[in-house]
Amino acid sequence: MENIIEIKNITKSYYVGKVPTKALDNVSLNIKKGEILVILGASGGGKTTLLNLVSGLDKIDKNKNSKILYENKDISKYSDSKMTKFRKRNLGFIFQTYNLLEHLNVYENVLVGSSLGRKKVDVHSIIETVGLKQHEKKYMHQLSGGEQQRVSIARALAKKPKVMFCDEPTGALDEKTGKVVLQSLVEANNKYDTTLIIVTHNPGIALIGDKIIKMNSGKIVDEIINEKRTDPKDIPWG
Amino acid sequence: MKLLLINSLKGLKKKKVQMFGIIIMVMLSTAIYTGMNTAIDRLEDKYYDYLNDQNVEDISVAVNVNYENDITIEHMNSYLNNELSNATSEEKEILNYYINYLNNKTMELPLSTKVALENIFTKYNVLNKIKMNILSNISTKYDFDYELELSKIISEDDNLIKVILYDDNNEINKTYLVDGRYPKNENEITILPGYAKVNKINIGDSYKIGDNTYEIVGFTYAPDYIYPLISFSMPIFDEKTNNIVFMNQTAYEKVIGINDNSFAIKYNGEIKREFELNSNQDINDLKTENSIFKIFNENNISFDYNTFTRIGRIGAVQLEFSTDRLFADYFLYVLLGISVVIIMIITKKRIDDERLQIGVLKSLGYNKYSIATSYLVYPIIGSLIGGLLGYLIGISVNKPIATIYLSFYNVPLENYIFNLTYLKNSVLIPMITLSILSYLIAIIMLRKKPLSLLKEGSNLKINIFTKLINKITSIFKFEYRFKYSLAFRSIGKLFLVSITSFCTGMLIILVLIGSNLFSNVIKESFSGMKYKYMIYTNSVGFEQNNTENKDYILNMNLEVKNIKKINGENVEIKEDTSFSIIGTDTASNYLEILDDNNKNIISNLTTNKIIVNQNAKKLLNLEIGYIIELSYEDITLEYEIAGFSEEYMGYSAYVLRSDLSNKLGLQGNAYNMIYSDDDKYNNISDLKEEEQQQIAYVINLEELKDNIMKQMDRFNGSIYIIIIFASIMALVIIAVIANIVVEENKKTISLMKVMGYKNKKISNIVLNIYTPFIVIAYLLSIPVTIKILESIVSALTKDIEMTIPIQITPSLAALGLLGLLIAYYIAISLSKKVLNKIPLAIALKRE
Repeated sequence: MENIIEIKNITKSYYVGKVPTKALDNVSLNIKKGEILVILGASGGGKTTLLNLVSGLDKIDKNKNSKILYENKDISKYSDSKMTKFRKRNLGFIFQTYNLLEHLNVYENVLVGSSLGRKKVDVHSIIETVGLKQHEKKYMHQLSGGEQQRVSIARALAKKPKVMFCDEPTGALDEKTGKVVLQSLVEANNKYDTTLIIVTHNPGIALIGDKIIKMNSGKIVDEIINEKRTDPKDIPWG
Repeated sequence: MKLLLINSLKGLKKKKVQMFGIIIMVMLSTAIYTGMNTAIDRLEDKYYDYLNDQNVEDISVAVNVNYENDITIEHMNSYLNNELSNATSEEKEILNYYINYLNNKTMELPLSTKVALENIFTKYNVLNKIKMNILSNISTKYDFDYELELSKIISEDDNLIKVILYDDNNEINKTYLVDGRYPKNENEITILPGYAKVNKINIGDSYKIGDNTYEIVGFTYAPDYIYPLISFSMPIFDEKTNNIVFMNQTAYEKVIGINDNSFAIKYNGEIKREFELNSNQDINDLKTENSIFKIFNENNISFDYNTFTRIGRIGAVQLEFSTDRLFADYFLYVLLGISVVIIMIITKKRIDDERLQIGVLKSLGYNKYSIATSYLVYPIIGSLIGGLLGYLIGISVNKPIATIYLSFYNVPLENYIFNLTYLKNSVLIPMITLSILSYLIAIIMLRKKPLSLLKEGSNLKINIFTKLINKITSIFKFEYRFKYSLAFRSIGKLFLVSITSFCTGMLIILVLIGSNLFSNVIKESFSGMKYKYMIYTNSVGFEQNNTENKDYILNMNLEVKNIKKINGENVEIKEDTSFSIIGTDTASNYLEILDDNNKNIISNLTTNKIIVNQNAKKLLNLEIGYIIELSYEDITLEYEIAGFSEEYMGYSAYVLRSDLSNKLGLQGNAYNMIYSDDDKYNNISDLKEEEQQQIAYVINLEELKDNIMKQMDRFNGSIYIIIIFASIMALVIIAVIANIVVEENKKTISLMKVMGYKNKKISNIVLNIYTPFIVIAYLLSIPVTIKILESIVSALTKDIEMTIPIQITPSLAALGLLGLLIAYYIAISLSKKVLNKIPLAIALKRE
């Protein structure tokens, strides 16, 4: 499989007062197309920072050796408006808090995502993929946390992104609901060949991925290739 | 983007109070705008046609006889053989002297002789004939027609009646028939329809004037009395007691009253009708405006009180049109300005509340422009509903508003004509203004990057002010530290609460000042007048002996030649500035000249000293010690300013009567006005004929004050309408702010309840934090509002040379603040009641 994303020697520092802190220290990584990559680590390890940089939500520290290549295009030098267009056409996002529009129903929330895409999509089919067909006309306050998260997955999928970034997608959910959500993600990956990058602190979730990277203190400390993905319903939780 | 708009639209349900606020603001402003403009249209369209159709005069003039040139020996001989044949021997001596003068013009003709001649000619009804001759001589040169307008003024019981001779041959100021027919017979009259309506009189009823009873055969308007300023004894029209009656020649001759005649002039060229008289314009330039006044420069034609009252009678309604339209437009923009503030608050709050969702949308690829567009829902819905409602209300109230105008102005009303402009403006102006501004606000607020928006607590950053306040309050108890750190946490919200309190404060101050505005002027103007009657004489008399406890006054209108400062520099004055000079004795029975400390400064009047009124002081920037040079014909009079009187109408000044008389070449005891307490002046027809003949008109000061206060009540009626509107606006703003304050602190309030804090404590810590800022904002609004009002009033009154003192007492200001705070706390407690209905668990839920 070819690489969809190539990350070369990226660094990110933050200032707390006058003291600089390296949140990410000279990280390099390749991500293959259609792959499920799980970034694992404890709180403060740099995994969310890595996700934010790779997704273009944040900028890397300037360095001539640092690059983030998407299909051989270096997005680290894009301006804000160019990056917005890039995200619109290529990337999807799921966050721990679902951040759906409360006055729109399930169908309409997913439509919000699909209206950004270039091609017309079958919204009903996407909703069915995440297992919410019977809830299409419901509003957010009528759904459980897991159902809402699945709506946000459907919204992200609706614009047919090449890559989907998931930051602690099950962080606010219990085991049963969390596994259902993970199932939806895996099915989306299988059906649409969307590359998934999942950030989590839950080691059980790592088993659903093709590649697992462990992060600590802003560095990749381990990179594991998973021979076989584990079905989400079988993963240990916690 | 369509979906984002639908999301915003559905979200309106949660913002009912705030949306209601916007709709009310837009509705009020467009209702006033449409109602007033439509009502004025109905009057104004008809007004100009009316002036043409009834051939209303261009000017009324007083003809001054130039005794050196205007009378010939032939004229005098004719008069001596006819009207003057019964003159007394004393009078004949004067007349003979005059004839000798006409034969030999190197002789002197002093002012005192001229005054005596005028008295004689008045007595024997020769004066009008002389004046008609003068006009006849110049009418061809200036191409005008003229007519002598005969009328009498009768004061009877409470009524003031102007009786006008009806002549269907009159070509100028043709009587306008509203209903019925014109009077043909001796016992028939017509009256004003407004007077008839208020007094429940119909055509066919009887009406008594003096000892005579007449039958009312019709209702008419006198077209040169659009605002029926009948007499200076009643400068404010009262529909209930002021009447204009038309009758035929025979009936007119039998009526006893004070003669009030004038000459009406109508030019034959096209003359533009202007509100302001400007004597410098050129009659030869007939194609352009205002060419009617050259006549005043070249001949002995002058303004008289009729000319000035013409401004009020015929032209003042134009000022009404322009000021009312200005008021309607101004109100529209003020209320829209307040709506913008409310929209700013709503938009900011909405964006703050939805920052996480917005962060995700921006991450997904929505740009700030499409997100900002979704917030246009508020201004569009608000202006559409408010504008349409306001327009419909405006249309429905245009007739009552027009009817109010008709109780002041006698002019026929045009039918209602639909005007698309007002509909467009009522909807489009608010929509465009509010939409553009709220879009810009949203763009600015959406400038943050997605990651900043997505960070938890990104809206709760500690800003520099909070840090500073925390440092300052660190020595105080926890409660105060908590309170003020909450207040300063969001500078934007604090600023908005302060700004809206400032706007509300301005409205309250406007209401408080406005409700006392004119009554203050009236109070100040009358405070020095201790007399009951002001009697104006037809000509200058000479005081023989004062046995009747009167004040004799010499009142002259003198032109200002020059005013010099103490350092010799000239004060800038407009050409044709004149003063009404009141020559009084210091030993006055009835007059006090009060300064701004309420001290009587009449004793400052000595030879060559003058006391000027406050209005002149303010408008001409005068100081004590300045020298005023006045002129009368070729006489120059010089005075030094010795003080200022608390009077605000026009330019007037007091001097010593004997000094004024001497300077004019008259005897020291000359007068043309009397102040008296004698009730014999209440009914002129009861006086001896000789005394009646000398009197031009009488002002009953008690009646005048009553009349003005009654009019003030009516005027205050419109002030009360403004007060109601301003109060509604203030309440809407307060309700919106209180609602937002409670909503913003929903989580803090709920958390504190869960922890066990009592309601009173919660209110004290969380909700009352803005009280000091509201108080400060209100106090700041007081001087700003006063300044704005002063400039508005100055702009409105500059044409009529009047100032109106703008002031507010500390007790009134405190009352305003109390009202504001009470309203604020009521609104807070109502908003809290809504909050109490939400279960704590829901209120604390993560958004």
